[in-house]
Amino acid sequence: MSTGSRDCAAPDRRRLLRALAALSLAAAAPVSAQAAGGFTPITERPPAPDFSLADEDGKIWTLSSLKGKVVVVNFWATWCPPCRRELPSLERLRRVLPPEQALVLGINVAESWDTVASFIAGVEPAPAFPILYDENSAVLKAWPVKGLPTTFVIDRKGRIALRAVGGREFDQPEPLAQIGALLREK
Amino acid sequence: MGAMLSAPVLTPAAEDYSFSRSGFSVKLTPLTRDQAASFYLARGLPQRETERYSRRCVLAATLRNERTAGAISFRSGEWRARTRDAPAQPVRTRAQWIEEFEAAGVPEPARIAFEWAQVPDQHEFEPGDWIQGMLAVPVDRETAFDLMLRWRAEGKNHEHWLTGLRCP
Repeated sequence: MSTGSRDCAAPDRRRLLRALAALSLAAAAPVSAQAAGGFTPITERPPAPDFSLADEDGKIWTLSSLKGKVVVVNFWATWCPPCRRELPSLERLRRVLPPEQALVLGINVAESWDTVASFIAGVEPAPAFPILYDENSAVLKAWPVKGLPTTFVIDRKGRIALRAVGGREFDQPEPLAQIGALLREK
Repeated sequence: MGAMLSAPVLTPAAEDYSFSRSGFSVKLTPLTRDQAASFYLARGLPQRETERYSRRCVLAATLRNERTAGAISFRSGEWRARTRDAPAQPVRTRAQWIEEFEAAGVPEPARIAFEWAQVPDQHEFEPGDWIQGMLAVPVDRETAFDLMLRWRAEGKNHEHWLTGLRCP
């Protein structure tokens, strides 16, 4: 479990800042109006409901074991158009996050591995973050989700700090800055 | 919503209807019977339930909070549709559909996909948030109708009638 010490965090922060600088140039490119904008800060920061879900390799991911890291949790399904549109930006986000301090988890809702795999094969850039399978939507229902996609950012203490309902472009300056601020928290 | 991975159900088959008031932006796209049915059949909804759902008007809705501050909330059960010949009727909520499908023994994966593809029964958007979902209106296809949407923003109730809608 990373505690984000000053020595190891500084290069990661520099990397994030470099990414932010590069992406601020990219932001000049048109962004879908449907996807513009950042997260809503959750002032009270309630504890994130814990889950244990398997990825495509059968590895079990338990949220509570990831305390100390910033975790982006994205609920999605292949039949949901805004979910499909935002998935490449989640992968681009993953690429600029310091892996020892942050990670992205996609939680697919009630679809089969085959369905997801055949969809992922056509996504560019292909998601390299874990896709977890919420087969009976029990995790989805335990979280404050009313529609898909919904994305949460969990702080280092395991609390829901940010939420976005509807598609976003997660590698744009505003969401990156919000996640960067969480990374700077101890 | 999309019927298949590469077959966008949302391809407009008819005129879109939209409005934006007090930061609540609404776009409604009427779906053909085939569009609505193919989406749910592909998700495993049985033929009988798919037919029951898609024979009436189905709208693909995009709802958005375009305000710079303050939440917008709604309860879709408060929305009403009226025709020239019939008084206003509430739209059917997703909870009502799910209750019916559970009683009919519809398999769980199909119920889950159906549930999450509908406009939620109640929702609160923060600025920048938006959702897409399908909405079943209690009006036959090819029949013109008006639709009233009610929402809450800045501590006040708002409502707006969209007129002359029609599903192909």
